[in-house]
Amino acid sequence: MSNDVKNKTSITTPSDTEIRIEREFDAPRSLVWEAYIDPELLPEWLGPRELTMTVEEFDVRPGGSYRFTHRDPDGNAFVFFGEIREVREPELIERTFAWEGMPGKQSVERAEFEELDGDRTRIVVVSRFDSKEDRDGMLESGMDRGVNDSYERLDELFARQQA
Amino acid sequence: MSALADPTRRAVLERLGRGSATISELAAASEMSLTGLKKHVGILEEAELVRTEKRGRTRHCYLGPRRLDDVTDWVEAYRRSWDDSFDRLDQIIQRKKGMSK
Repeated sequence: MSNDVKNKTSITTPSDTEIRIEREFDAPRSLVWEAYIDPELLPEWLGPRELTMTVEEFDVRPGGSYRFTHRDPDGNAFVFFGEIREVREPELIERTFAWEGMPGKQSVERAEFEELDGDRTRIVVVSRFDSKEDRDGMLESGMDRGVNDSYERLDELFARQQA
Repeated sequence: MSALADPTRRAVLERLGRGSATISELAAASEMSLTGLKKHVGILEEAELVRTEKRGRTRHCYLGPRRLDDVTDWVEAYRRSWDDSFDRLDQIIQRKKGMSK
């Protein structure tokens, strides 16, 4: 980061079926909100860096739908979609979240924007799954670079073993 | 796709992270034939990610000596992926903040 100390993202699992992510930003809430829900900005920040993201639809109002495609350098496409369930500008957006790679599975993602002292804002994202298996399965879905890096290292290992 | 992007092998590692299991338990959990599951376990065993032990007629599987913490630690990997996204969002926000001044 070019400016001061980087804010940390923290994670907790409040229950077997939830994941909670928290992060503070040095900016007023209205500004954080605008950046978060701007469909034109989404491809610049959301999802793994090495994937190219396209926003097919992002209709931010209750009942509105959204659909994002992430493409890897080999052209494989990962499609995410869902419905916006609740919007309270500039403090809350709740949506369902599903991946085409796991048909029938969906989670509910609730993002809250809290005003803090000194023109700071905290984003809290809680994802709720139908079961622990669903939660862990969706986390394993291969979107994590850290995990993928490990796989690549293992891949090299397997390749050496089989050679 | 990478070898460990294979969902069965990931599921096996994750399951064994919670305690040992027999081949048939692993096969049942992943809805797979014994033969198919044995093949996956064999690959993981060669990589020392899993070790197995025959007791009587059943083969018990455990996590092996090689530990890749980040393979089983989905929570930390998930945190890192959000952290990375939020870093970029932060840059956008700081840019917007600069413009609105």
